[in-house]
Formats: sequence, structure tokens, C-alpha cells
Amino acid sequence: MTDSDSLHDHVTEPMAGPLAAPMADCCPRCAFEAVDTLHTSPVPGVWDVLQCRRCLYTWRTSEPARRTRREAYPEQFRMTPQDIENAPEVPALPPLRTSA
Amino acid sequence: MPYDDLRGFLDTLEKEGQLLRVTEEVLPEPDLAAAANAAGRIGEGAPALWFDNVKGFTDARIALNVHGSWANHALALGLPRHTPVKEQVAEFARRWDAFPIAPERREDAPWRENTQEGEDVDLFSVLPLFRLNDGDGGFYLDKAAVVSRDPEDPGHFGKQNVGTYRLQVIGRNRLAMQPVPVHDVALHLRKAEERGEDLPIAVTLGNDPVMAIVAGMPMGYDQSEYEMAGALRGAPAPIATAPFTGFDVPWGSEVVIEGVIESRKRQIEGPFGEFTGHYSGGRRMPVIRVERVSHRTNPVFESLYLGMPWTECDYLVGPNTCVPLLKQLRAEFPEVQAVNAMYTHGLLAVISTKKRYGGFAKAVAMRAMTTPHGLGYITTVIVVDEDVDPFDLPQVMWAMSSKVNPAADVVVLPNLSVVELAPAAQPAGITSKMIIDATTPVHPDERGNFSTPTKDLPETKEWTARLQRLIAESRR
Repeated sequence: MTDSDSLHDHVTEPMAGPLAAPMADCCPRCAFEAVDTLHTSPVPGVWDVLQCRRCLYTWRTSEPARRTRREAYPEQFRMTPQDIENAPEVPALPPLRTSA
Repeated sequence: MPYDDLRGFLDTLEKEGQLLRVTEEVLPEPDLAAAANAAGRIGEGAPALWFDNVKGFTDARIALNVHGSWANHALALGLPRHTPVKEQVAEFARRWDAFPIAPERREDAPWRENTQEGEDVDLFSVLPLFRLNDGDGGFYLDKAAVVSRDPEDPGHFGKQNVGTYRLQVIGRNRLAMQPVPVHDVALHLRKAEERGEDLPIAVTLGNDPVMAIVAGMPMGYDQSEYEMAGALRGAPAPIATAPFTGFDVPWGSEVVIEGVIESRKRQIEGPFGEFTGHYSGGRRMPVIRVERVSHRTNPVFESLYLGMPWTECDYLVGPNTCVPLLKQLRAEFPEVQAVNAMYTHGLLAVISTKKRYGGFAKAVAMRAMTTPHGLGYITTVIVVDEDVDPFDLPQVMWAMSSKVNPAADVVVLPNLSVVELAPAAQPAGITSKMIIDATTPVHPDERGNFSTPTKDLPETKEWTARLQRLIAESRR
């Protein structure tokens, strides 16, 4: 894989601004509007597990508002596109060994 | 009688009154994590927790806090549940000397009963995943024994590593993984990524209680965790061959997840509430593509709550951090009596030692910092005399308060290595380290007024027994 496969390059959907209205399917952490359903409850209709396509935050719809609602999501855990872009690589990529 | 799997151990915990089954319906969040968090707050005899009535799930079996008390840790080692901590560590150290005990290969592993492969892999359909702490980026596997091999020496059994690393479930068949640079799997990954190759990996969940202990144990690069498990169990560890990777994995696992770490790829991971009592993340971490899941029928999902100490994590990696340090120090310095490195996986260690000559205690402390585990962890070392019990913190505080003259006894060493997770590091991965020499100076270090220490009276031992007898009689 190369850097061109990295996460932020996949995402083309518009980004919600920080004041965007809270939506049921907006990411509570980074406010991105593209959210996938990873899993649904074995007992039908009880909860879904959702995931933000941008920051990969994953939550269950039955969790408390502080984990599921943008407006209630704690400031200290919020993430911006810059946070994702600038997140350090751990561990750092080593140089490729050349066969020569 | 050693346990070959998690289920056998849970049976014993239940018989000993150390497993609590919560039968009322609970929410996956926040109840499961809050209950496990609470277990760490109710005192030393806390039980393991079992949940099978979790809202929205039809088929969940969840075990938490399995190692989460000294009673449970004692039972994991096959010791009586009331065994004091210091004795558990001493017995652990005695058994260590039997290392290596070759494992026993069995090919009838119960996790072979059910398989998902390729496109059909869906971790959510096998594991009742849930969040631990509020700020966690998602649902984690945090008590797995993760197996990898040295890509340059794949046939070397000892270099095959079994370790515990945090794994975030970031898709039905994808896991983000944190290989801490000081840990063996990071060496394996580095070699694979230098060649531009994927690193095959096996993630085993729900293991026998000694397997969980050795997976979190700082061992030498070419030492086999399976051979150490054999020594601690007093019997060969049962292993089996994992079908996708061909790696050696525990025979008794509940679930075996296999795949590859995709070479030279990083994705956003975390944050995650860590053993340091602080969140770490988000950082861009390697990603595992899962190719095969093997699991028992009705698998038990074992997880571990960690947060502000003490939690299960501190019991799990307490003794197993003390003993390797004790052995590595004693190999060169037989004067070392005991090591208590139970605080935050050994970010702080208390060492008791006899003194060969003046300055010796500081040398012992510096050696502790340069052991394999010390390089990434030990940031503060308190050295005490041989008659101070490092597990008795009031005694340690006495030594610190009475023996330390800071100008000569506190040494700060700048810019040394530490795990990136250490919250006080600056920058991440770099910290100063401190030695507090709380031993009595000996010749030629002639400082202070220590020539006339008070010692317990020769008759005190006898009087201790006499008082205990009189107290017992007065209560009849």
C-alpha cells in the first residue's frame, strides 16, 4: 500500500462545519456526515453500530448522548480533519530496503 | 492442576466464590465497562464478572475482571486464594527457574469447530464488542495474546512472539494495532516493512489464565512465552497450529483471528484509555486485514477494563513485571533481594538490595533502567536497604523520609527512552529518569548519621505471637 491509499484521500464527501446542526447520522466526534453501519443488533431494532468514514469513530446508537450526539460529545475528545491529517505515525515507517 | 483454557479457570473461580454472574439485563454501554471499573474499586477480593444477558444481543457471553484481584491472580497460578502478594511474586520467581519447559502440541483445538474466511469474516458476528471508556475511538480487543514471527528467522520458535497489544476494531474484517516500538512485534513489523512485505499475525482471545500473564510479560527477544507458560504452569503449555498463518497458538483459545498487517500502511486509531490512567491517541497505526476467524461453539468474549489504577490490568501485569526485573538484576547483582515494579507496568520500581560498597545502590538502579523492560518503562527507581520490604509501602516511605539526602541521593538523568504512552514524556518517547537512593550509605560513602539504627528488639517476634494469641483469646 502507498500513502495514496490513506484514509483522508478516500473521502470526498463535504465536511460539516463546527456549527452544523446535530444529526442522528453525523459523527459525534468530527461532525463528518458520511457514516456507515457496521453491525445491527441481533435482536432487531435495538441498536446499530455506526462508524464515521473519516475519523473511524465507532459507536452504538444505544450509548449515552455524551458518546453519540455531536452536541453532547466532550470537547476534549473531538477531532478535526487537521488532527487526523497531522496524527503522528506509530511506529514510523522504516526506509524500504533496496534489493541492490 | 494447571488450566488448559479460560473455561476451566472460570469454573474454579466460581467454585471459589470468585466469579459473579450478573443475570439481570444490562446495556452493552456503559454497563459492562462500568461494572468492570467498579470491580477495581471494591477492594482486594473482587470477583471476575460474567454477563450473558446484554440488551440487543441474543448470544453474548462476556467475562471481565478475570485477573482482577489478588485472589484471582493467586488462583490463576494454582495458589490458595488468600496467598499474600509478596508470596505470589516469590512463588512466581521460583517457578521461573524451571524455564524453559517445551510446549505440548495438540491438534484437536476446540476453536477449529467454526470458521469464517475471506469475504465472510465479520468480527461483530463472533464477538459481542463494546466500548470501555468514554473517549475511546471505538471497540477494542485489549486482552488478546498476539502471535507473530521474525520475518528473517521464521523457523525460530523462541523469536516467535506472544504479546498483548491494543487492537481497535475498525471494520468487520479490520483491526488497527498498536505495536509499541520497544516491543517485539514492532521489531517483526519493521523487518517486514523494510522489505515491503505484509506481516502475518494471529490474534488469540479468551486464553487460559497463565497465557494472559506471559503475554504481558517482558521477556528476552528470543525467549518463548510458551516455554515460560510451561514453567509457570508446572506442565507443558498446550499449543496448536493456526490454519492460515501456520503459527503456534494456544490450544485452548476461544477465538483465533488470523490475517496480515498490511505493509507500510497507517490509519487513524484511538484514542484509548491506557494503563497509564490517561488516554493516548489518535495516531496513525498499522492495520490488520483479517483473513480467517476460527472459534469455539458459543465462544466466551474476555475483555479487560483499564483506566485510572488500580484496575484488572495492574493485577495482570504486576507480578509478571517484577519477576523478570528481579531475575535480570540478580544475574549480575546477587545482592538484590526483591523488586516491586507493580506501579503502571513498572514506570516506577522499588528495589531492595544489600550494598557491596558505597555507590552500589545507584548502580543497581541504573542497571534496572537498562534492562529490556527498563529501557521502555522504568522512569523512577527507589532503592531501599535489604531489610526494607519493597512491597510494604509504609516501610518504603520510612526509608525515603529518613535515609534520603536529596543533593546526593536523588539523581536525574536527562533524555532517556520510555514508551510513547508515558504521559509525562517530552517529547513522546523521551523522558528524564530519576534514582532515589534510600539506602543507608556504606563505606566509603560516609554521609549522614546512620551508625545507630533502632532495630526490632530480639524479643519482638515472640511478643508478636504472644499478643496475637492474647487478642484471639480475649475475643472468644
